[in-house]
Amino acid sequence: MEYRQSGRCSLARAIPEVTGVITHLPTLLQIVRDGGHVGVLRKRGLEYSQIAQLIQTAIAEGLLQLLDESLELTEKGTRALAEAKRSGGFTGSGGWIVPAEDSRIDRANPNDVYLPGPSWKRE
Amino acid sequence: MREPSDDDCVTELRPDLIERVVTLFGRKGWPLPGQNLGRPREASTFRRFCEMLRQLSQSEREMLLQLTADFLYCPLGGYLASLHRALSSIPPDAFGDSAEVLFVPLLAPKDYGKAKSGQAVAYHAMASRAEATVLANKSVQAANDPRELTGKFGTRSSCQIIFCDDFIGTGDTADEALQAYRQEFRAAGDQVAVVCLVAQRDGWNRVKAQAPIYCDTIRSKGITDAEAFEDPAVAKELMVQIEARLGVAVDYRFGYKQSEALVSMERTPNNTFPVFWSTDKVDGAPWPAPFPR
Repeated sequence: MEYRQSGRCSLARAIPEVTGVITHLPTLLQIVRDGGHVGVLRKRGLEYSQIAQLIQTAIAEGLLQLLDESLELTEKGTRALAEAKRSGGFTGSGGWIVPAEDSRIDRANPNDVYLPGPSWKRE
Repeated sequence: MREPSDDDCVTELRPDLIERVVTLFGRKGWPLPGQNLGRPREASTFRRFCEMLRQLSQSEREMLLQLTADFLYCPLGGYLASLHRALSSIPPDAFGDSAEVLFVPLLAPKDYGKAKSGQAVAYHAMASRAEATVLANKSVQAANDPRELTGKFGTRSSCQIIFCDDFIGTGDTADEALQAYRQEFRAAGDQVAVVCLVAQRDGWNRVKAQAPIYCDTIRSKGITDAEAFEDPAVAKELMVQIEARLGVAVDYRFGYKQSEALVSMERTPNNTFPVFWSTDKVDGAPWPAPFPR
């Protein structure tokens, strides 16, 4: 099964309403595999409703399964993710390296005063 | 005071949580992504609900999901069925010998002349006369305003007056409406009752002390009376935390007069927890309330 950027895979044809977002399926699978959140998809401009449809599609296709309110990759999903990587479903490192959103901090205002913590030492 | 934990930081949603919201919306019969429901407000409820969750900590999210599981959403499309249930709950002999039945919107004097939901309920109640046993063989009419009780309907005799509204919260409006009726509009031979679609238990009790009340759904307080919370005090503390961030005015904390309602009708009552309806700005952007007023 291929999830290429062209959006012309059989899955996208079968489910017209997700045609526009189906190209993000490999990223969703990777997020679920890594226990991440959907920040990357949101930054790409996807609405929560679109992400929900993407998740529903992945479940319907047997790529993800819900166990005790927790989403997991199925074997088919694991294979699809590996296939997507091999076939270039992720283009460039930006396509498959997921930023560590948990480590991101809010941008500081230029006028804010910054006081380093106690671990900071002048060299 | 609860100690802050790792759950207290705000992060983007995980796919599992979005799927839980889909399941929750499915259980409630609320519009899901991809469903074409034609009403923009309903079509965006899911998106706004998720955006709201994104701005909450993990423990706040869990508490909100618990509350939402008990949330009643009854838009205009559900009014007729709810009204039929309320009218059907009236005992067949409740109106005794009254030959006339008059549905009147439950309006406080300050709202006379305004377009309010009570008028829609009164009109539909009158239109439902063929389906309600209690209205059989009665002359059934509806008033636009309580003031018609001394005008258009001033010559009535042996009349069953039924005040109507879609929602009763604290019972303040009902109190004012019934008091105004007793002082200005009562006629000899009148009997009074109240019909509403949904009522908070406190408001229902206040009305019941003054007149028979027939209601489709009676609701308890969302946190105080809920069995779903192991420790309601923790849930309350989390809500206090959220409302502090939202800048909710004192009168509306936990809903108007602390009603703790979890209800949205065609319009969301201010008795409902403001986190569900307030669209005041938080950090420069309107709060993405799923059921805005």
